[in-house]
Amino acid sequence: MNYMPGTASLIEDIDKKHLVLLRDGRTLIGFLRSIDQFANLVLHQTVERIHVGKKYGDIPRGIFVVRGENVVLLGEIDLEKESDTPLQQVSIEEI
Amino acid sequence: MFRYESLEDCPLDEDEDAFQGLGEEDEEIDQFNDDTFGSGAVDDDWQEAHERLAELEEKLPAAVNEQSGNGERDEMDLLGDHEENLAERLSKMVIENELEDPAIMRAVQTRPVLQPQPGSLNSSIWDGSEVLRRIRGPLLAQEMPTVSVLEYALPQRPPQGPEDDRDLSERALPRRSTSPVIGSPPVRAVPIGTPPKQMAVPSFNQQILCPKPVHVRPPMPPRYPAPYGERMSPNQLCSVPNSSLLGHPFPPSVPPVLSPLQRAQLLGGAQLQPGRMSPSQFARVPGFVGSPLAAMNPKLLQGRIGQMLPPAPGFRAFFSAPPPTTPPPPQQHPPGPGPHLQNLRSQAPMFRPDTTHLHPQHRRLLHQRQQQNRNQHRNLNGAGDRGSHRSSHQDHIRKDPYANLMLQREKDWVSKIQMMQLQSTDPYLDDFYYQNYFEKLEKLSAAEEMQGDGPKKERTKLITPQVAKLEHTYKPVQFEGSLGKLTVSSVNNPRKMIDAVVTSRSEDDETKEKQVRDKRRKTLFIIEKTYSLLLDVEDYERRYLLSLEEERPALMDERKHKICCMYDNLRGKLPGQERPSDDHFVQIMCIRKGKRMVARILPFLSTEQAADILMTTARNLPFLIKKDAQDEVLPCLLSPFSLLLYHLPPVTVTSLLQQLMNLPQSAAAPAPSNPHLSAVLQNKFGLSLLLVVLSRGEDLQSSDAASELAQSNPWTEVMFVATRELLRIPQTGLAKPISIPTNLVSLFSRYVDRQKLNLLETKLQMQIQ
Repeated sequence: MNYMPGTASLIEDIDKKHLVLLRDGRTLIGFLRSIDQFANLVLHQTVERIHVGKKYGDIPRGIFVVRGENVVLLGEIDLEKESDTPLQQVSIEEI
Repeated sequence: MFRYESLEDCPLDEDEDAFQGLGEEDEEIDQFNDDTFGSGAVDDDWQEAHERLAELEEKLPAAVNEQSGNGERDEMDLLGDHEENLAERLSKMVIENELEDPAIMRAVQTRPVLQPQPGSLNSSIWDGSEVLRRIRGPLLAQEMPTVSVLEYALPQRPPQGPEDDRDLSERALPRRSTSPVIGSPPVRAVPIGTPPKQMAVPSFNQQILCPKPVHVRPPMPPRYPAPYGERMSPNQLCSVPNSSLLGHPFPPSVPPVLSPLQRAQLLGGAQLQPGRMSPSQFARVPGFVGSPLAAMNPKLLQGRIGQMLPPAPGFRAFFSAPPPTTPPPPQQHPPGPGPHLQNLRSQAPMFRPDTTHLHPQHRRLLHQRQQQNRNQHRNLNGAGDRGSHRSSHQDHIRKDPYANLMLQREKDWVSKIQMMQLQSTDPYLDDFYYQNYFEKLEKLSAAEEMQGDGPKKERTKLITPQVAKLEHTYKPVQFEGSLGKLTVSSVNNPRKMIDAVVTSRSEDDETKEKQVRDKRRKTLFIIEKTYSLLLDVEDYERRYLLSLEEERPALMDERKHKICCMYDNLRGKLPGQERPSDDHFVQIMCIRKGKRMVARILPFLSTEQAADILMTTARNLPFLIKKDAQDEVLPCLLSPFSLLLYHLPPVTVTSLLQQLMNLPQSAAAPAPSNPHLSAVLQNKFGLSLLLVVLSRGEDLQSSDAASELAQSNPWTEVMFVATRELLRIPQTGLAKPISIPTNLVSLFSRYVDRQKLNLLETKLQMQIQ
């Protein structure tokens, strides 16, 4: 469903897994459930991912509501390609 | 309200006759609460039923505790220890006027007395109303009278210990807080950011229909739910396991106690939708499972409470109610947290095929429609899939229990806002880059189409609504009857905060630095002004095409005028007979933006004016080169200058060359060094310009050799000097020119011998491109 061709809109990204980079440097990964006109996001089953070198650790966070102005960038995660990463997941304690 | 005041008193009353008092106040209540009884109620029936109930209540053993907590507790006990009890009671209050159904009347009458304490019943009624009152004033007003009948039929529970007191009081509050919609006050003034809550009733059914894929979207037609897969909300998923009931809506395990209640409740809901369902049809329905009622109620309630528009809620309540099931209520919760919320949110567009309490025909129709949509959406999904991976993604979506938390209408709402932001009276002004980009794309595609005879590719284009330019003259708010003019400051009429006064400084105060700064500022200012003119001038072509015939001469005049203004700006404001100094121009050229601007202006200037600019540039080139060291923008001027050169007469070219090389006027003994030339040669732009000039001269020379013999002398002379100078210049630090004209070799060959030619060539790297 092409909502608005030629524009950037988050509507088509709803209910998809996204990676969101915040202004404070945090990386959140979650399902984008809801948006509004300010690009405030509601992320569901959110996981905060911390990268250290080639390893990363996930902290489950639950539901996030992110104010739009704090988002640097966000992108959809291809669920199939998600596992093809050279990075290695470790436990949080290790990170 | 009068009624509520009385109710509030009741729980605190130790009076056993509080309930009776209610009965007595019936008449008064009727008068005060019109809307309670206004919507189709037949007053008499209700009153009779109520009186009957009151009689029954009296027969019940006297209440032990009249305290509100106990009453509440008992009431809650009667219903059971579930949280849903309160919701259940509340939901019952949703229904109104179910009592006019004679079947219910009969059922109610034959009900054995269940409640041990009338007092507890009293307080429970009042408490329930109290709770509800906070939720929805007007709604409660309608539903209050029904409570008594319902509670009358509630199953009996053993009274519980004092801990329930606390439980109940706790229950009352958390109940509200967990279901935020229940607890929220009726929102009348909708804040700006909220999605529209109203939903047209006819669109309710249509929401199930497949929306057409809209490519062009002018301001929003109401949108319908997305493909079926996406419409599987938690709410609907919850109903899926229960769909088995579709075929068998009347499970055997029906506690007879609740069936009339359920019917009453459903009927009451039905009544809200006039003409949709009549009670008589429900008489056919023998009954429903008792326990599902408990679970149904919160959702029903939520569906009810969450509504803004009266007509829809009853209908929606039905749709939101989870189907009756034999398993106990907890199982009915959808797999995941926050079922209530989700139910509420997803209720609106959701059609439950297993709403067995609908009119059968209605149900059939809706079911049909849903099937249609399913098929349509499946096809749509299949067509719209971008490759195989999308189908798996669709599967993910189908299995995603949290999908569609955001309703379609909310998506539309956000889209609408985004589209509104794109509204513009002058898209070229507001969104220049976008417009240009798309124009380019279209030209490309048009070009491609021209080349190949392929089918026209319909690129979906965003069509933004074109808003007519309306002149809104702002009229500041005026208060009537006020003495004098009261100024109210707003966005359109801002109040002056700071008194910024421009004070012109005296010359004495200024320091040298300040002067320099001021001068630079002035130059910058002039550049900005000229740039605006330039942009306007560049835009004239487009305007010309868009304008009418009559307007065109005016446009042309405007354009010319602006060009003149630009030139004056460049060269100095008050042109005397001769340009007094190049200073003004040089200042502009010192600034990076100025240089780029000049490059853009040149095509618009007349040949004379442009030549003048060129000469000035050449004259001051070393200085400009020095100033350009950081920016390195001068090369941008090369191309317009080259273009210009082709229009220049030979005389100009000759003098230009002289200027450029700072050649002495006479062919007398050259100066020991020529720093001017050195500087020129050491700069990319300078060297390139020089070469271009030489090339042009050569062209002129060779083209009109015969006719311009007389005039060629100055050129030849200059060339001799030039070559001499060039030979003298040390090779160190010579720049690499942007482009080397091809005819330079022939040029030089005229004036120098072979040896020197080779020297020149190597020096100027003419052979090396």
